Amino acid sequence: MTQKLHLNLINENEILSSGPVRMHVLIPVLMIALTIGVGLWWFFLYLNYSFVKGMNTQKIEINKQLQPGYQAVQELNKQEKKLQSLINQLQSYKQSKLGYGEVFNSIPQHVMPNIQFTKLELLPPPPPLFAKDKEVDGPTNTVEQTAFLITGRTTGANAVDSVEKLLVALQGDAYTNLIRRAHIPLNAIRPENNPRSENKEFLRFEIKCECQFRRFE
Amino acid sequence: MNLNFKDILKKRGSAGPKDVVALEIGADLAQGIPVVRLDIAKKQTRLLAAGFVKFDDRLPTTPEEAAKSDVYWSLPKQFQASKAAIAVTSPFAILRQTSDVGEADKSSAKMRKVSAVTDRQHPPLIATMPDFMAAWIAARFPQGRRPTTRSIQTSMSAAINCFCSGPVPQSSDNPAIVVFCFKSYSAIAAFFENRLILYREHPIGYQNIRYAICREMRIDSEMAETLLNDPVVDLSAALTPVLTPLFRQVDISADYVSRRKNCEINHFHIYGISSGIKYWSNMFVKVVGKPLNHLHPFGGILCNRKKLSLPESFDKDAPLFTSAIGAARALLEDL
Repeated sequence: MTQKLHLNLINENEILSSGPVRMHVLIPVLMIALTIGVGLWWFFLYLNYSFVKGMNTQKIEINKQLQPGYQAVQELNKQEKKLQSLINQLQSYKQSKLGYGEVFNSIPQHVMPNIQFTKLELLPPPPPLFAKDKEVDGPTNTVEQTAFLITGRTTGANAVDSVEKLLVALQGDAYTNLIRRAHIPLNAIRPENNPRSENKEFLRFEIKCECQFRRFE
Repeated sequence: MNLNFKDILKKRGSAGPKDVVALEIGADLAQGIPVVRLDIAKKQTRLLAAGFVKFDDRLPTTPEEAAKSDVYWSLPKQFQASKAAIAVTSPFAILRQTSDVGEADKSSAKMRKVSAVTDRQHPPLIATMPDFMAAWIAARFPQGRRPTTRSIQTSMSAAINCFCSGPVPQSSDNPAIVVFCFKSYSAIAAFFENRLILYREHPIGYQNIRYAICREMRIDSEMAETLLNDPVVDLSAALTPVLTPLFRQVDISADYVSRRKNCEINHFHIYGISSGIKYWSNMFVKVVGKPLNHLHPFGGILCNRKKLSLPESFDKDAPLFTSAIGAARALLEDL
């Protein structure tokens, strides 16, 4: 191993950096700049926070001031919605109205002399498909099935034919606007046991007419 | 946590490439100031540039003169490494082997001293230089430009480093005496087991050889230089009175080392001779009785001549780079 003999006469403090950027100057400057940068960033962050906080306070104040008016408007909106719904329902009812009058007026021409109507009954609509658990603005069923039942009696040799003719007439094209389906329910033509019938033979009959659907639209 | 920017700077500096430039100032050579640039790549020292530059390298002799001087040095592009090592040749830059630390401090100026114990049985080697001079040299390469000074050594200690870093001590640890021949003086260094155990200076340099020829033959210095390399002319008669005292000193030093270390010295080397080598060799054999081996300062350094633009007189003037090479290698090893 060769002996090392570096008798260096330069002092530590005389050694200079050849780099164009002096690190011992640059590092403190960078650190100061970084500190100032972070300080400025925090300052602007604080300013932003203060501004947002002010805005929020202002917003809360305005909200407080506007709250009664807003609630009134909300209430009015609700009422308006309700009324509008009511109007809509009425409009729907109006549009879904079925013309019974004309049909009933024209039925007598198909009634033979041996037929007597004893009852003309509009059957109640079926109940809603689901239970209403809360109030709904508007109809729960948009479609409603209606029907009416003609009850009467007939007599004579062609009593059943007369009833049949009436049924056919009700099934005819003249009534398709109202009557969707007309039929005699099972066992609906049967002898009438009436003590006041003075031994005459009467048959009781029923014709059920299912009307077109009422569409509440 | 304490942040010491100087430490950070130092660590950062040590992580950089090992690339240094070295120059010998104050040598007063006709060719100029010898400058070499070396680097280390894969543990191999490489020569990047070598040549002579010319600028005012006169050293101040008083603190007042140093304070007044505002000269700055700059090197050509090929020599602009980041770190510079400076070898100083000056009557004020002294290298001594002495146990008396105060001995070298003869002037009234404040002296800067660095010592190294090379062998426990021998006095330490002390390098001294006036404080104002070292400070002045350190500031000649300004901050923020390449290079800046990292090392200031005396030319003698730099030359010794040239030998220590060279191939001879790397390959063997035989006792050896090395003669470093400078312009106006020579230094004799004895090595035992590759440790420097003796250092002496003798006031005979290669200039004295030329003066002797000029005086004897009444010719000018250039002619003397030509004759030194002329195989036809025999200048032994003129050179004997000059070289014999120097070689006697070498012989005395060899005798001293032989007796102190109980060994025989068979290896004698010389640095710094660019002309008249045959006279040195022949006369050495006559006086000491052993062969004198001429060492090349660029020994052990990878030198790609095809890629480098070396001066035309590079081969002839190579011995003049001894101190610069030694200064560069010492700094390279410290990085």
